[in-house]
Amino acid sequence: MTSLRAVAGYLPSRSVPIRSLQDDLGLTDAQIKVFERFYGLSHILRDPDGTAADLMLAAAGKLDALRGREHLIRYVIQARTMPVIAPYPVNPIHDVRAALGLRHAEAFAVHNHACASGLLAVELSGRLLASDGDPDALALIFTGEKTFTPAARTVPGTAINGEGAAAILVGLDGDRDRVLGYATRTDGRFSAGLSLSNEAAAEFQQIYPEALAGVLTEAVETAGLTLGDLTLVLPHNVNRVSWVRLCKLVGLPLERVFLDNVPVTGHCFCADPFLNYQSARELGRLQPGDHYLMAAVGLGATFSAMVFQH
Amino acid sequence: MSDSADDLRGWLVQRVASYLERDPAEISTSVSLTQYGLDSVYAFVMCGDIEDHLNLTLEPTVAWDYRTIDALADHLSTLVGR
Repeated sequence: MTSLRAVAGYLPSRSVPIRSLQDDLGLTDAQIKVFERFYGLSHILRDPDGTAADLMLAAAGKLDALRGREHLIRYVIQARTMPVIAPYPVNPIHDVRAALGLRHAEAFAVHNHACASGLLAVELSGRLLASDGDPDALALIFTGEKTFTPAARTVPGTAINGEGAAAILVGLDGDRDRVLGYATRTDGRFSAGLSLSNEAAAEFQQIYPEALAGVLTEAVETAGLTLGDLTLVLPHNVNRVSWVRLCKLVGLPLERVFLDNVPVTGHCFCADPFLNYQSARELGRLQPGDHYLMAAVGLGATFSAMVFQH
Repeated sequence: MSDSADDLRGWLVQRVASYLERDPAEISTSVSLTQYGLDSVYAFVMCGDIEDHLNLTLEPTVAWDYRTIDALADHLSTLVGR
């Protein structure tokens, strides 16, 4: 059974008020007001001098469980939202693999599920490790991206993006943070992503909570649980109100969704659920044996949920 | 201000027309706001304006729960009457 052996987050020290980004992002006064008043957004974090590789290496530097286990790493996977993050032939995940002394490992990226690709990478790691047959082998996943381009800085009308990153060590048959269920659905009607027509964007907004609820329910059922059995939901941090809608739809108490980081980090692409995992642990919100769920939605549009036991 | 559903309906028509930059006469109170192309940001702008106008706090999901001006005005008049 796939398990998270360790998770480490890196949060850049520079905190930027979203209000200061108004001109840069071309936001109207009304949009800023809505983001702050209803979406629960306030600040994002940025590392303006760092590269994509720097972000990943900073997260790896906090992953103590990696030390001494480098020889067990079979896969180094970057789970990202953006299909292209550097000009050819620069390949940040290959640079990270080399910097960490992991040249023996296969390195590649997954981005097909956009911001839900982090959960896809956990699932994929488990499948690859299981098929290899070495019970000690590990996969190292990186999440978190730079906000270099305008398209990377915001999800229009929905979120402001920041630069937090997470490194995740995945193995088989661990005794903590075991994956009990995974559900994912891609709705190709919204494949245009950021280029949806106004009508399609409105349709996406409308179906969003029901589609997300569908994968949450499927993931907990796969795990042999109900939504009521979950101690905590570790969400993506696009905004607060999308979770208010989801909770209202499925009858989940909003306080079970860990939203503490929404005003602190903004939306950090695929890293959100893992950064929330670390914060929740630091705050004592997860106890041994607790069931929890990570959820993410990627433009395109992919809805994903993964259930764990801590 | 008056809190009747009719007054609220008229006020909402003016607000929606303003967001959409259209003539209020073009706004039907029985048509879904999403059909007019009122995006999610302006749905929340409307929530904020309603809160300020009526001095109350709304569930942030109100724009999805009540999709036409008629439905919204009826809901708001009930809230104000409590």
